[in-house]
Amino acid sequence: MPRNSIENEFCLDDRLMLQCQKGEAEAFNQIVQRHRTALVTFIARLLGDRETAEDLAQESLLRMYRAANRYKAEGSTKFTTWMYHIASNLCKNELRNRNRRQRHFMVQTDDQLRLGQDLIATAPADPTLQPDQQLVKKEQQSAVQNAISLLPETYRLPLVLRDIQGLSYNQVSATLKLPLGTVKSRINRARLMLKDLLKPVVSPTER
Amino acid sequence: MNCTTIEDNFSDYLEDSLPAKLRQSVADHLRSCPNCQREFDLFQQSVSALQQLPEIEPSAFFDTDLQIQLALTEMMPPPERVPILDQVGGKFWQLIGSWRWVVSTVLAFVVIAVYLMATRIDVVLVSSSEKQSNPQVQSIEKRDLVDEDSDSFPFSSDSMFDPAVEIQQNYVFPTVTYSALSTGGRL
Repeated sequence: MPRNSIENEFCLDDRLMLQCQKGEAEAFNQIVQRHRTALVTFIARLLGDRETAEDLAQESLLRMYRAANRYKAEGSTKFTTWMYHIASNLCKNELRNRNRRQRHFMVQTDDQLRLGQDLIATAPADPTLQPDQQLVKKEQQSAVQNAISLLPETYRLPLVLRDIQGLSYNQVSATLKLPLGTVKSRINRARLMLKDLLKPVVSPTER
Repeated sequence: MNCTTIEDNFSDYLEDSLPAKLRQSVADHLRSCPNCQREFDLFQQSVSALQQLPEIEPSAFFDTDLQIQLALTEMMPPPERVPILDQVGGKFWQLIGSWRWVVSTVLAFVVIAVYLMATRIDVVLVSSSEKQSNPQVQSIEKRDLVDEDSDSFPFSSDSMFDPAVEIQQNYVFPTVTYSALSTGGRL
């Protein structure tokens, strides 16, 4: 996407937030329509669970609506980082609660891995691929989703923001309130971990 | 550039954000080391697989559920957050206004100081009154305070446990007087 177009997109979000602050309900509906898929994708990829992802995406949007009056339009990437910051905090809480539950009720890792299966099952099929190719692709997506679920939270968050949501390093740094150098090294480390986890699935010969 | 440090530069190399000299150094190493080249290819494939994951569309009920929750939020706005001191202190805290943190800190110090003084006075009073009423307490305290090596310590550890050292024990028998009345006329 050209740079001017990206800046216009950010400005549009700011304009919509200003209209929302003036009490125009339709402006917030437009924000929901623009960002709901990105939010659900971000949370679902992070948690590996579609149902919780929808709940948390709704909760994020509700929090944004309640905090709309405190939002200060500063252009550039402010809105996106604000939105992902709210969603990230909710996800961190959810992951912490899951870890606590896991400690108390001895939930098996297999259960965690199974969480990602519904994301793959409900993903739209690629019409350009043959059925057997589609099957292979779905298996690969399933393996990637499982590998993400096995990464520690500190590495998973910046990786998903960067490689799935397509945020820049600066945006990830602003979203997670971490220094740029930390974000860069964590993303590199997360990619290295992912490479090791996906070794049996990804073949280096297929280029 | 060697095999252990090259991995730190994989992301920057992939995204073409390395300085020209370092980039050249990484490229040279990858050309000369098939193992690192294979690892970099895997790295590239993994990142590519991650970036190709499809978006997840929300379910058909997402908007309806959200609209219901937004309507509920409108009907029941969240309670305004009142600082805890305002809730507790009421008008007193309003009167002192912005100085309340200073005042509360000073008050906290005063309370701690009074508590410490009170407990110290209590200890002094108890110990002095005990000494007056029970002189044995005083002697025990003195004995406890005596250094172990000191000659005045009543038991030396050697004499206590060495069987060769004779332990002298003095028994004091009570003086008993018998009368004709108490013995029934037999004495």
